[in-house]
Amino acid sequence: MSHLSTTPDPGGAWSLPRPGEPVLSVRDLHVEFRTRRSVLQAVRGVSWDVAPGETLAILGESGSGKSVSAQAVMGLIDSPPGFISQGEIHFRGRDLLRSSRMEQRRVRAEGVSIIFQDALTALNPVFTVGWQIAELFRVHRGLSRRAAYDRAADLLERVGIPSARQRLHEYPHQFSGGMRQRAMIAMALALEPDVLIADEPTTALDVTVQAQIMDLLTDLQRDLGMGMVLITHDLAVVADTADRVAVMYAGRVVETGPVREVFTDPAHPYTLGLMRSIPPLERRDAELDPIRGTPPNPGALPSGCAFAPRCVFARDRCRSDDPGLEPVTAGRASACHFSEEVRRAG
Amino acid sequence: MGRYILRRLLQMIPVVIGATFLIYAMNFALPGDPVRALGGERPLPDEVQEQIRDRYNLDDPLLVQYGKYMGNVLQGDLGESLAVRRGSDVSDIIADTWPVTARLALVAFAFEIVIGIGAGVVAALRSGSFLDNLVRGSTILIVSVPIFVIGLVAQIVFGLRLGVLPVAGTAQGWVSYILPGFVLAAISLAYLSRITRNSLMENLRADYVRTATAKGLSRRRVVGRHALRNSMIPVVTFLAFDLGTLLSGTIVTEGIFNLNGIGGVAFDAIRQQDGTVVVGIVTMFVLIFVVANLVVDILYAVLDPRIRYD
Repeated sequence: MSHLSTTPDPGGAWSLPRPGEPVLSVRDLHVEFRTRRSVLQAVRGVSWDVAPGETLAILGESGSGKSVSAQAVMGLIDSPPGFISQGEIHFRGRDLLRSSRMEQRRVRAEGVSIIFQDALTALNPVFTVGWQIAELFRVHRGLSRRAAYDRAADLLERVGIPSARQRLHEYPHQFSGGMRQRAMIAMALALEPDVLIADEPTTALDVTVQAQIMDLLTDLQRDLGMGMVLITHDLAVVADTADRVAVMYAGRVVETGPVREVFTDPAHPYTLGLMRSIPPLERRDAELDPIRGTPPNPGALPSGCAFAPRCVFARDRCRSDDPGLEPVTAGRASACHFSEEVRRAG
Repeated sequence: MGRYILRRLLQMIPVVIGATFLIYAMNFALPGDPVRALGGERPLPDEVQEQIRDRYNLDDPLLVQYGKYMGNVLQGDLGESLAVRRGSDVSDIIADTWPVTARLALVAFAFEIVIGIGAGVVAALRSGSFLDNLVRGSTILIVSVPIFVIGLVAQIVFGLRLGVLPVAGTAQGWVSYILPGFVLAAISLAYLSRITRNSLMENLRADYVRTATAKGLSRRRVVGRHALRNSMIPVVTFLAFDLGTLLSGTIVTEGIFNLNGIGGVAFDAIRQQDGTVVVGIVTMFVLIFVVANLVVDILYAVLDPRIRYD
């Protein structure tokens, strides 16, 4: 499995960055979906970055825009109706949005890869799993059919698929849900990317399989030293695996920082609400404290802070003045006028 | 797979028996007396009528008649024509006219595949563009206009004004089939481009296409290898059934272009109550459709590995 070792590929296109320096960063990204009648602002000025070996979790509910920035990185926003109206995406210092098509394809092939929620629909139903993995080696590395299949078998073995050589010739529907996600991971890691984006990788799986897949992902990340962007709505998964978290609400990052600090000492009312909605283990009959109301319609956002209508801390200022992301402590930021008050309340 | 095909072939036997019996019974039940009709204005002498009835077993009950007929069919004798081409064997009539129909069908089929699928793919890839609207507009136009109008216009424009293609007949071999083939294909071609367009557009939005894009593959490869193969399933279904229809001949197109195909013979036979010819030709049509059906089912399994027969 030489191609999955921690040493960088000597023929690789990218030099190894200094530790701690982000390998992929998204800066002030705006994505909107234009329909005939309205413009939906799915992402409104999102920034995040991820360093080699680091896991960044992007946490948010459906519709918060948590997947959109990742799709923008991978060039998966269907245009029309989707448009990246503003912002930059830097991979190893180069702005992807201003690179040539060839350059973008190259980054997608070898720099950043993605796995999706539902591996059954994400894999092509009419080609064998082996073919789909081998395709990467054949197209991007120019390997022969036989050599490409050999590498594909190695990869399937590496992600824990038993009798990998036989299963190479099976179709996605012949795999179980967990095995399919493993195959998807194998495909994503085939060309040793610097960053893996995992877009709700375990949402479609059984709870027991979820844990196995997350373990596999963290193992591989450690072995390969790659950065991981974990997009999820699962607080427990974030607490278990991520180093840093970016909490998203209505197309914005509302709070960001190291997971432990953000979770134990929230500085944004939305994060605080999320923490309070977790059922306590010791008192299982205790009543839950959910966040009241529903997320705003992205086509008709309230003026001022988008969370204000649901916020127990909201004042008049919140309804007129939209707060930006401001530092709370070193490495932490919150988009709330009253973050100090929120921290005291939590 | 081999067992599946064998089973399907065996299933064809009851289908063919049922279909021929229905046709035979319907023909039997038709009002009018074909023997008297032979005479026209001047009634045939009773003895002659009797002789003809006797020769063709026309006085037997339905089941006996059908049984005798099928017995002959199994020996390769489809009977002889009473009216359309009096005295000729039905098998000779089919052998005479069907090659014309088959050639016409193949030319039409080629037009469908090349233009229909091509236009559909272009429209899907450029959806919302001028080309897409052109394809959608012209398909509506084609399906709204009766085929004989399309045929006559094609004859006038290409045959007479431009003079590039023969107007009618089969004197110039394959070239003679270009114009009628196109006219015959026109409506199916319009449907086919619609089916192709919708199917491909649906697949272009599929998750696995996003995966292919995320793999850093070229657009050409994403569309050509990943999306197109999945989009072909409804297209192939339509094509295979349509080939069955084309091979059964068409009365209108054959008539406009003066082609001596099987559609015209079938039409004449029905009009003149020439039972043996009708039943013989329809039996062949049934066989063609049953085989086309089988081909569709086999192609499904080839195109989509999720479908397996055993």
